[in-house]
Amino acid sequence: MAWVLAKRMVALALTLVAASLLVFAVLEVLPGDPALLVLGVNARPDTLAALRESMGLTEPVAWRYLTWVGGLLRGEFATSLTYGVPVDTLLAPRLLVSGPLAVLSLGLAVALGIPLGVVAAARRGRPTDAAVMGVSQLGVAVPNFWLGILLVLLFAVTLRWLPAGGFPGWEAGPGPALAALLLPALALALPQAAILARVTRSAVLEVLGEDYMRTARAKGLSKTEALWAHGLRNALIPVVTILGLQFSFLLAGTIIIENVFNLPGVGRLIFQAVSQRDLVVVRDLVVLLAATVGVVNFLVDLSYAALDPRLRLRGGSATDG
Amino acid sequence: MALLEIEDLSVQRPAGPGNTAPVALLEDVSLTLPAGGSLGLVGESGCGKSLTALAVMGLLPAGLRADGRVRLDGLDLLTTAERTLCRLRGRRLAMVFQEPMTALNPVKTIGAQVAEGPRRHLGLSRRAARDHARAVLHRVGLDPSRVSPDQYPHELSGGQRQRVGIAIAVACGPALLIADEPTTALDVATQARILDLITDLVADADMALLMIAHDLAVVAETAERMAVMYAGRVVETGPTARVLAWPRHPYTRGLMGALPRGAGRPGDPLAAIPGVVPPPGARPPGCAFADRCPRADGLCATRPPLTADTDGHGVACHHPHDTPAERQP
Amino acid sequence: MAERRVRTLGTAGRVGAATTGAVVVVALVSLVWTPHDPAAMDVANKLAGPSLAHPLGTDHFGRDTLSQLMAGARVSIAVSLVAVGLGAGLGVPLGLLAAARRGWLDEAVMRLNDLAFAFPALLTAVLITALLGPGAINAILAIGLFNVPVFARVTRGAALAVWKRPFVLAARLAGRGRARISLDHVLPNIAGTLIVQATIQFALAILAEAGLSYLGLGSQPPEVSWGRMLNEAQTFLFLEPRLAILPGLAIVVTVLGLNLLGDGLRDRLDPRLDPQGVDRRPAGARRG
Repeated sequence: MAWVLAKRMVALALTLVAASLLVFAVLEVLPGDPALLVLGVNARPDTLAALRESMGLTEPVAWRYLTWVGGLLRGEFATSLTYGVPVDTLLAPRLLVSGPLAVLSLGLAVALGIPLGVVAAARRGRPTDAAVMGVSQLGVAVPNFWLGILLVLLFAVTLRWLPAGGFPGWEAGPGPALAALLLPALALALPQAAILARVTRSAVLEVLGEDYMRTARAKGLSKTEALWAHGLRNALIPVVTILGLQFSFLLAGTIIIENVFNLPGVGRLIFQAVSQRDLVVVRDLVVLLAATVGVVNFLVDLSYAALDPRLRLRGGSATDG
Repeated sequence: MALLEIEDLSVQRPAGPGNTAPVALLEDVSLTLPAGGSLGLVGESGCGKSLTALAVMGLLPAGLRADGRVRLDGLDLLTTAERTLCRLRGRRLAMVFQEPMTALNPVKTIGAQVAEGPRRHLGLSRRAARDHARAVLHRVGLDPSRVSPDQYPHELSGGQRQRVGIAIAVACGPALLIADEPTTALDVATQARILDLITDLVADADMALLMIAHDLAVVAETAERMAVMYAGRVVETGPTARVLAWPRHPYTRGLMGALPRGAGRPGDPLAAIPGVVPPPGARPPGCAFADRCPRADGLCATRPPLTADTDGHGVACHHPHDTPAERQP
Repeated sequence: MAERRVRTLGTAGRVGAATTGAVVVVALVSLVWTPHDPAAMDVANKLAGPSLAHPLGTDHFGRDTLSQLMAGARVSIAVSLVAVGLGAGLGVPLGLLAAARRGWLDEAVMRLNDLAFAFPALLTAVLITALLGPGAINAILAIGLFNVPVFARVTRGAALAVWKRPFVLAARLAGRGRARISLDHVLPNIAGTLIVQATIQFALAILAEAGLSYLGLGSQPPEVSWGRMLNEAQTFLFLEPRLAILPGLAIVVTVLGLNLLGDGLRDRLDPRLDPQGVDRRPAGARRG
């Protein structure tokens, strides 16, 4: 187990190094002159030179990369070109918006998607199943930002129950803050819940056909008892895989949903940094997001071992598809 | 009253979107098994042995319908409510399955899987059920000092896993143990030890045994009486020793590898049965074995009834053999 | 699979095919005819409700909504088609190569896959836009690059299964090279799987394109796009909700049609009957 853990950690570290190299290459090497990219072709030469100096572009490329990554590892971030403050100062308050948003929407997706999938599988071929599958087919086809707009239309414009956008800050108390996050979280969660329901349904259906389910029934367990006691944990293995991948979609989804709802979160910060060509912020945030995705997938791999004792001895996670 | 009385059991797949006409998988199967007795059920794969067992357990695959009567202690299981069946399964009747590799839940310890039945049926506390499971595992030959109840199925060999499957089945001391080809997936040496274990357990606890096998030797070793099935019907039944010594149905002779080819002159080479079992839905209206049978004639276009002699040796054949088998398996 | 399965698309698949066909026809028609010039402004008629002249009303510049939706279909389909083509064009050869050579090459392709999944489509698009500025081409590039690993993985998985089949062994014994076998035997046998995956990726690309243009990172004016229509309509949500509903419906209908078509095609073409055999999402498969 310790060995598997070590192997996974090395793989994670390699992925992170590769991701940082990729981002560095795309943003700082490919453009030739990042300063020109930031200021545009019409910039005055002396302004360009000053920016090159302040971005450290006069240093050799390898040194620049090491300085950047070393800084990130020590928690020392470079200064934003447009805001004039270190990136972490920009990031901290926005994490308090995006973090809860991601957790809330993942929670909603799980709370809706997995039970619906189990129910659909247990009632296979009956009206409940057809209804769940129909709604989820629709859910997969709905863009989350449009769903956000529709939710605003219904709950903010027509019913006036919830705010249409903006964020009062946690200082305003958990009530108003959560109210502001509820619609964006739903917009992010519902399409993911639809996918989760479909994956759960087919995973459960597969498990229902397993021999050990019949063994459980032969012991005297009812269908429902057998499903909960023996089926669910086996069915969760593919579901957890999807869940880990969905997390990265949620992170990316925050970029767009935070724009729909005018939330001061990390996604919106990235988007603004791109619009303002703030390369320093873009580069740091993209690497941090990639690192988050990597860590989440690492945790997913670990959870396989928790769910499936067969993986605790052997080296790999699930087999290749 | 016998412990288990199966009367005119039929199983069919009703007409649906996939098939226009209902397909009969099992037809008019009647068997009895007294308390403490043993009955072997033999036949090629697809003849309905396992289906009979699953129908008794009330665990037929979804979409299949059973008709007739399956009485356990006089209670017709086919008309009994599912709640009551759940109280009987694992308690009064239990089953050992064919595939030890897949019949156990890979994510639960073997101890937990054995303890599950006793905890629900015998009202044991969590702790008592665990101790009970430990004892049952020991009884089936899994010494706790060598195979811990805390191990997972994938850490065990095929024979060990089948012992766990047997432990699960006998954990609550059932009156009827159904063993569906319990040794088919195992190697020869292990097969013998598992069979010994089953006969030993059955004798010890005075359980009735319904042993399903495609191998006559297994039935010969474990069952007092036997029934031969072909294409969803019982074609011959009787005391095991008598049926094996004096097989009357040509199919039974074929199973024993004693079916002479062609005219059947003494000294002719022996052959396996030519042809294949007709699939359900394509069974001929008369004797289903007719087109593979060297003795078949026009009469075999009508279905032969199962008629028994005074010794309880019954055969469903228009032209049964009336000499002892020339060769034992 | 060599033998053709004698099965139809099924009801859902036929509905999907008809819907997809209808959207494609609308997009093609918009090339030669729309009721009005989609870009023509008519401020006197702004935010007008449905009328005979404007069946679906007009937007805040008085542009005809029906014409805009039709033109939007064209952009949406074009961007998605090219992006999926790009993804398949690079991903399928990579996957074939990985399956044919195994070893370090296979490992490298799979690791690249892992790396790619650390960058969801939107993030890639943001990076590319930061580099090159917004535009339809960059949206295509972003979505296309994201599709490469998806096709590589699906191709590899399906191809590995074919490589284990007896006729491939026979071809190898006959001295055929791995490249020839990949093209002559493996590719035709996994074509069904790839077509199904392409249909699903197409649906996802439509969603991604809409998201990018909603953010203003996709095609730029005067080109029309459903995503930007939604963005502009959000300002007038209180005044004219119709403008925010119609483009979204267009997206949903298109994606739903493609998904249903994909499901229907899978039942017909995909030899793997496993309903999870085809990834529902770009990153839906198990990781290696």
